[in-house]
Amino acid sequence: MLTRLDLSPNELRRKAITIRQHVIKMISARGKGHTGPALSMVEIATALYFGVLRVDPENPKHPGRDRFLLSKGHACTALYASLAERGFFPVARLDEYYRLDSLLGGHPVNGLPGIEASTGSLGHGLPMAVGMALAAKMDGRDHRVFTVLGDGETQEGSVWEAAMAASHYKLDRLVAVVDRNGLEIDGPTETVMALEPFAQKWESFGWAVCSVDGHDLSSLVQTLKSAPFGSGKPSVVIAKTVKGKGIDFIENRKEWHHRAPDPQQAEEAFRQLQAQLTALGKEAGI
Amino acid sequence: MNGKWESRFDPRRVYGNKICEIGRRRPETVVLVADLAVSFNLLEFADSCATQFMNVGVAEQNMVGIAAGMALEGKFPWVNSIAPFATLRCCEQIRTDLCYNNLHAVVVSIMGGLSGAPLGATHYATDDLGVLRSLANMTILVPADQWEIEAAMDAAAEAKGPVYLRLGAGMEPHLPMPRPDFRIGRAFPLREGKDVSLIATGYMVHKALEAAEALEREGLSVGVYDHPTIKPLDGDSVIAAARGRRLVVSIEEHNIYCGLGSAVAEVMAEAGVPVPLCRLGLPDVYGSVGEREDLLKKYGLDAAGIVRRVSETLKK
Repeated sequence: MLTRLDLSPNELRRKAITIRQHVIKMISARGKGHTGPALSMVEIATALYFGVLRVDPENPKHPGRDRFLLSKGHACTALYASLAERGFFPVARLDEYYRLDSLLGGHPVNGLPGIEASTGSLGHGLPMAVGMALAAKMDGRDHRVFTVLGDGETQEGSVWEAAMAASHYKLDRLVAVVDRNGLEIDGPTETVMALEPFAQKWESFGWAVCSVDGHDLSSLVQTLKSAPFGSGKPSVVIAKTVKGKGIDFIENRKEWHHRAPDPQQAEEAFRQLQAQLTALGKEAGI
Repeated sequence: MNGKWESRFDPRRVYGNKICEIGRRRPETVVLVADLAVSFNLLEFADSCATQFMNVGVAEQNMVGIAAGMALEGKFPWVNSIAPFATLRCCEQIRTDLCYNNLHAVVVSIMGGLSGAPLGATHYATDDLGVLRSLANMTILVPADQWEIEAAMDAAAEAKGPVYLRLGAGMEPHLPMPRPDFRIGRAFPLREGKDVSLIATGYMVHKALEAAEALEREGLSVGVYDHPTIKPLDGDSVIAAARGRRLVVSIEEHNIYCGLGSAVAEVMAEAGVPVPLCRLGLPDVYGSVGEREDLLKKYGLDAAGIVRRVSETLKK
């Protein structure tokens, strides 16, 4: 059955920390992965899977499901952890990350329950999401199509080809989320290839834009649920985030784009995440 | 054969008419163009199947990405552009979105080979087959006449994964002989010969037939093999065409690297067929300026050029 979960703010925050724990565990166990990009989108993924998307983990291809494409596929560990926590497959399966012939690769692979398509080549997700939304519109189906892009990714020209088409075809069931962590491999986006004024770029392409704190779960859920923000327009959420969010020595450091914590660093990361869980528990009076 | 074989045909007209039939037969069919509906003779489709037609503007990467998204949702997209833009501009989208996801979609090009002449090498496709041949899951069809275009389109509609359909532009002749059922991966032996086998694809099949007749007049027995499928190549046909001959010649409107000639060489080498092979095509250059027939002559891809190359090689 299709369901949209409705977790309390505290439960959502706990879920995000649990997902971060999975991310660190997967990446540190294999010694490889995109730690920073995954951590920056944990709240986005949590909001989607535990407050916004109407999905059926028992029947991942349910025709009425909301679609989700991870265009910034290198952040896949956050997606795998979210899918496992949402029940698409057992949490134990996260251990397959990077194993030979596994469906939990370094970028999403078509075939893993909950994955719509193999993605991860930057600039590809939005055009495909446009195609999915167009197909739904042609058939008069009203599910929504969500995709998460990296901010550096929007330097790809194909993103803007798709942005133009989405507004031309008035795809108001399409929602793009940009993980605006401000860092790409070689440094700050504004140094490498400036994106600002970013919101205006989307607006001028005919999108309804909403900027949010990308780590504020309540506001993410509320914003994403409320899309479309403008009638007859595709919606984009510019989620201001911190790359590597949640682990102090990883936050905002470009070198953590593709780096795995060593055993000591992983231990420290788990300690910090556990402290966050404990603090949340106190807050909730548990 | 009926009278239509006497006249020449425009591949775009054939395509535009046939796609209407497929669109009506298969309502999940969607035709996407990047501002070339007129060039592809798709106005009738756009009119009669309006809800299945989409012009995405001059944006081939987006067109292929959209097609992939649609295919994921059960649509059957046909994306259309001029050959270099249909294949190379959006090459990575074809590879990753269509081929890696193994989606059923057809990439259709016009102006394949040198048929875009005299527009210049920006608009010629003499490297499309080689690039796409290396993409896993991809089927490549290069029909030689109207009957093969229509049959290839029907076959593409029944295929499982991504298909590339390479069409010419301008008027082309019909092949004079009937052929058995079209099947992806099957070559047609058009004439038998004991001395030399000419293995050709697309428009070059006509040149091969013409050359075979001329060579026959010089006392050689020459076979002609028509390969409307470049991938998967009909290896059995290649081996049968090669065994016991004095010479095998591959003929294609393409760079001699990575296309039909390379595929034929691979098959012959692996099968251990000890027969010399001549690969006719563009000698690793971009096509020059000029009309198609003049260019074919320049590169030795007209009948006289094929005859000359065969005679020279046999004298060695």
